[in-house]
Amino acid sequence: MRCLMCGKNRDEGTFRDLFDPQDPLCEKCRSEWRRKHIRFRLGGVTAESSYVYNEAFSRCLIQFKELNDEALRDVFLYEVADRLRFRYRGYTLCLLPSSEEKSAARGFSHLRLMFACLKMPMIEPFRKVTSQDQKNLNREERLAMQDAIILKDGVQLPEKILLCDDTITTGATMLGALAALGQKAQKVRIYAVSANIRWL
Amino acid sequence: MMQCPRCLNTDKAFFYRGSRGWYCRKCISFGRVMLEEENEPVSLAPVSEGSEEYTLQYPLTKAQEEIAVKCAELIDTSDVLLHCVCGAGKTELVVLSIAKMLKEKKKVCFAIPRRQVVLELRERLAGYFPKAKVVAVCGGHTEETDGDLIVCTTHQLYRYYRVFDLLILDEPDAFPFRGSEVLHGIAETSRKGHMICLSATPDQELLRKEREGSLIRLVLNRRPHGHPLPVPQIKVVPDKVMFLSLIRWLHRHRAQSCMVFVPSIKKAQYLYWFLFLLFPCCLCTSHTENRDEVIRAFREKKNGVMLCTTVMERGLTIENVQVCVYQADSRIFDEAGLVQMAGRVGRVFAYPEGDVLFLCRRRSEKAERCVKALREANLCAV
Repeated sequence: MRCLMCGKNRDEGTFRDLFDPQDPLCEKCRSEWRRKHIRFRLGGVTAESSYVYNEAFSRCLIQFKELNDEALRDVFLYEVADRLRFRYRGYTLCLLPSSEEKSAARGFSHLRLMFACLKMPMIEPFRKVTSQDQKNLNREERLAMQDAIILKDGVQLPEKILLCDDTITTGATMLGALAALGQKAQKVRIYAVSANIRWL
Repeated sequence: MMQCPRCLNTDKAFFYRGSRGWYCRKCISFGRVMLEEENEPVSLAPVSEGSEEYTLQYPLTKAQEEIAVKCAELIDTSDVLLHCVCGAGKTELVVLSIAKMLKEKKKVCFAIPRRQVVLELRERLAGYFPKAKVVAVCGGHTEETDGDLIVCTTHQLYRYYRVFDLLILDEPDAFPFRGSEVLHGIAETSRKGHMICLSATPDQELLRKEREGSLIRLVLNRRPHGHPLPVPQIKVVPDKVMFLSLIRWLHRHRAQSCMVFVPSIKKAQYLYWFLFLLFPCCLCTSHTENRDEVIRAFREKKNGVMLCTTVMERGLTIENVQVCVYQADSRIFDEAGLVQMAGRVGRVFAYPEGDVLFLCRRRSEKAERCVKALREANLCAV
């Protein structure tokens, strides 16, 4: 078995493998991620994230999202899956949208693959109307884009909703999704796998 | 058996079956390549008329001429390794072969592991081929990827699947190309014709290919000015005295430019803090952002001291420069690197000789092998 990021052969095994032999990342790659469960308020809703968005995490996320490396699907939630399943039992995962062109080019929904390992009910009720890439925008421009997310027509929303995304930078996408939900959902929580360091 | 069409990987552990089928994860950083889908060779614009005309700055010497003609003959039938000492004018040697290919309207690429050298080489080749469109493709210069003659880093070769009729690989023993299976595979699949490798220090892989007969080696052991290569002087000094020896050596050469190679960036910085009190110093490592500017200033100053790491060991020509390698026994340096560092000296016609000093903490086999290799080259040249 090889580490999915550095490609190093791991048949030899390490001390950690005695307790945790299934992790798709090797000890070294995993240790570069900074795991930190934080909770904060975003738009009046409780948000939670598990990792700090640092260089190693972003490298992995880019390889998964931009270079379409589907093999990395289980890497992100491997350590926190049990915890999430327990904390958010009864919730329905509600995935935030990518722009349509991008997901068409990708050929798969990266969030659906990423959160599939939780084995929880999943819906994708949103649609993104602009296709502008957020990467090159600054904070003000991002916050101005909140209206870009709308609910699809005729979507039935469950009672308890967990809004899921891969990373929270400014929170603009999340606020957009919250605005699109309005009063239609009874209970909403937010979960992002990683959060920018400024949320700490 | 499955094989990646781009990096030629056959290790099953690197293949993964995604939603659209199997793909290779070894070269994923260059974008995803599906195994089952047919990869079309990239098509580029044809070579423009008259681009093969060339003018050299200096005429080739007799020895160079001989090698250049032989090389141009051989590339039709086989791969060639030009094993030439540092400063023998490797670029000029292949100009004839390039011109021949361009005349036959074939695509030629000049690939180099280091980005720094790409831009410099583009200027030189554009000077040699005034009518051809010479494009440089490397990090930061990727808007235009097609021309009559393409100069690129070895990383950029992934853009050209089965394109080139002639691939010239400069310094294949340099980092990051050396030892990288992915880059080797990509270089292999970017060509449909033959390949010329230019190296002063060919590695075992290339020599093995020569023994197998898939590669023909041409040797040139003399620099165009006919002077022998400067042979390094090895000096074994205790740790604490080494710094003083360095200062003494720098003081002796205070009228000339000196390059001091240091094993690591941190050490270079510390040494810089001390030395800049005594000498006009500059620092040039991979962390230096305005590297081009630093080098330009160093060139103009004529009596400066440049502290550098192994990034600067190749492809740099500076007039009247002396070289010292600080802690030459460090495991960071290898034999090929030491030969290259010594090869910075005496590359210009006006200053064909110079001083090279290796400061070691203890006897070092690598340094001794390097000296031996240079001595042998000098002997063979006569």
